[in-house]
Amino acid sequence: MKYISKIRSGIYRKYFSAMLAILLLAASAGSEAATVLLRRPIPLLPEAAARLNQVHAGKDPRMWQLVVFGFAHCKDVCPASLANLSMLVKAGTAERIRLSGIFVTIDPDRDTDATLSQYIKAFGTDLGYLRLEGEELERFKAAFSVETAFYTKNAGNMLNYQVDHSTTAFLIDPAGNIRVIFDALTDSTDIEDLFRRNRTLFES
Amino acid sequence: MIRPGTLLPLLMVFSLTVSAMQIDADPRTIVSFMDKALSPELDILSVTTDISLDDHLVFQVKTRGERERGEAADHLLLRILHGKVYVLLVPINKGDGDKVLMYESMLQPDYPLLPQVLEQSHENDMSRHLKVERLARGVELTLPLEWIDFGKEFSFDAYTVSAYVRGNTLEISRVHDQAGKGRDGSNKFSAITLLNKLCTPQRLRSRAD
Repeated sequence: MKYISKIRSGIYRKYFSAMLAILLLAASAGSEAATVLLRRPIPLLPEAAARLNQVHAGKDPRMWQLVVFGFAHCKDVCPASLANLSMLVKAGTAERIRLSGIFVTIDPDRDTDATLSQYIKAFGTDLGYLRLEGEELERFKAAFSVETAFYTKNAGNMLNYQVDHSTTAFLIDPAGNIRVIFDALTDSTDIEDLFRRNRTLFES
Repeated sequence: MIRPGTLLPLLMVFSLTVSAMQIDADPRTIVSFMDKALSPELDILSVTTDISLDDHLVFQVKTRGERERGEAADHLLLRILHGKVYVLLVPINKGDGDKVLMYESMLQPDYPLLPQVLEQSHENDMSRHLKVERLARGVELTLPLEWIDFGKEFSFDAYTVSAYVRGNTLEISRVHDQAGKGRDGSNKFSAITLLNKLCTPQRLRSRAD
């Protein structure tokens, strides 16, 4: 009997280890978002700043830019981010802040220019998109520390795969500095408040 | 047909494989190897980071055990590389109170990631805002997000050490355990990564269910 109870306690210990690992995984995946107004603005690399400016070429060069990352095949996270982005551009305009919104695709293999153009239109006419490929996209993502993970994407499956990506969004000043980092899904009201209450930021 | 007795171990194997992959992939978490040769309170199991609702960066260090009284030199130490080497020091003995001390040292190439001697930190503002809370078998250290320079890289690790405070100097005489042991402190990442939250439609759907 003692032997059996030892085996049982061993199994429970193993179950406990498994449960602990799962709990740790859940904890690591569930971190809270935060809106951070940077004390020290982060200057973007000239290449990244130039790419963003290209999206709204010909428009007012003193524009602030809201940037989110995503992919058009995303069913609910990216649409919610883009809806918030569109709402924020409107809120900024109402406060007389020159502001544009840019959606950067992390999945250029599926997101063609035609797809993105159509996709963006669904969220209003005040948004633009940026589609980069290969090393250029990797450098652009690195400039914003954007994380992505592709699941089941391989030579035999280039259409139906899942993508994980960070939902962090960025407010960029006209000089090409990151000034605010926030979560595109959860923090849009913080940014609306910022437009209303921190006018000096936008006059700097 | 799969017998109920075999299903659970199978599920365990799959869940552990997936968990290990995910945890290793996330630079915000360190899962430490258990070392039964150490006293439980000196054996670090994990270090996790999180952002609190009031915009603080929270480090949670879990150990295999805890103790009320014992060797006074034993401390839990959180090392942060962020322009300099910063060290946050908490006594292992719960009976010694919830005080946290902050030390720093210049970050120099070819120097050990945890220097043996550090000076008291000059960042008084930061020291005032540091908080420590005892958990069951662990501690939670909280520092304001404002302290972080998001243009710089960030790295952290946790240790249990024997350390002595002499005036403004901290002397580390022995390292008992290191959470990232054998990984040569390579979890260096952009500070923005701390704020990044990975999302996927699938994960959201399962949350809604």
